[in-house]
Amino acid sequence: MSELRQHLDPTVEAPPFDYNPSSMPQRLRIGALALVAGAIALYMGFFQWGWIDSVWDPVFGNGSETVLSSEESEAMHRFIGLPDAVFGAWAYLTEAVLAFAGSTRRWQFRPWLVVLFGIDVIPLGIVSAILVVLQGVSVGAWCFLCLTTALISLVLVVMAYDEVWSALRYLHRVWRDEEGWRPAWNTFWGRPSPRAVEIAYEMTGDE
Amino acid sequence: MWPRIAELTIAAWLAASAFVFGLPESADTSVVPLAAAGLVVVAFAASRRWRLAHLLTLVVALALIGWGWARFPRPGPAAAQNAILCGLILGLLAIVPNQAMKPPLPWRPHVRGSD
Repeated sequence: MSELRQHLDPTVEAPPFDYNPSSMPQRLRIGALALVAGAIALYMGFFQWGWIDSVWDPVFGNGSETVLSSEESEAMHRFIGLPDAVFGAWAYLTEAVLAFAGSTRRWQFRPWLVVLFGIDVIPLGIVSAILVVLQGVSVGAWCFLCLTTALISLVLVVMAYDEVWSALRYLHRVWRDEEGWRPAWNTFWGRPSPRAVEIAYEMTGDE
Repeated sequence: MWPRIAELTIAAWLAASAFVFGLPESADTSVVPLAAAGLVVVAFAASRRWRLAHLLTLVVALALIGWGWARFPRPGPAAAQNAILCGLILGLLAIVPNQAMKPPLPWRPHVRGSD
């Protein structure tokens, strides 16, 4: 192992991709987009809190206000304890924070962070987008800004999948080569076995 | 260290917000736990004795969410919703490692340019 020390490049590409899915520019784009969606959601939350009297909607007129003050929305408010739009804003904040955290090779160094980010962005993003559409169908009115945030959620799924795929591919390789769960589990938490470090070299061609 | 700085900011707001939002008369004593929660988060975030101390903030976050969610009929007053929101944000920040932008310690000997 001694010849391998100090040679892992933190900016290396992650095959099968010809780029680094954990690079800061890529993650900053994801985080910035999530923050935009979060700001939109918070703006709608201000309406649900009663801090503003109306919601801007260039397409559906007062459809946004109808959706945001619907019985379904009130039920969510009672269940969560927060307006659903504010809860959505927090969800986008989690995506941004999890996008910003971690080094530029976190798909190998901190797989837990990438997997958590993936769970946050991919399944939860798809479900939230579906819920927005179902709410529109149920209420019988549409909300332009809700649909905008749902669209952003789906764009984020596309932008985030490559890093999650790389992390899962690395963990699978460690699990397969080590023939046991414990080395893969430790690697998942950022504690690699010697073989996991070797695999990190092999996967990226670092010398 | 940016997650800890963000936690300190939320903690300061939490401590102050206990006095900013009016609570129902029956819950006046709840001001004390809210302010205390802020001070405890400050202690965890500023701790340098144990590098995983920030994970203890998760306990405070859960307590805040539980208090805001269960203490009042929902949707609760502003203070309760504030506690839930602060709890959610603190819970998110608490899981981010101290030196989040660097590789974890076990990886550092293998990484070029990492100390």
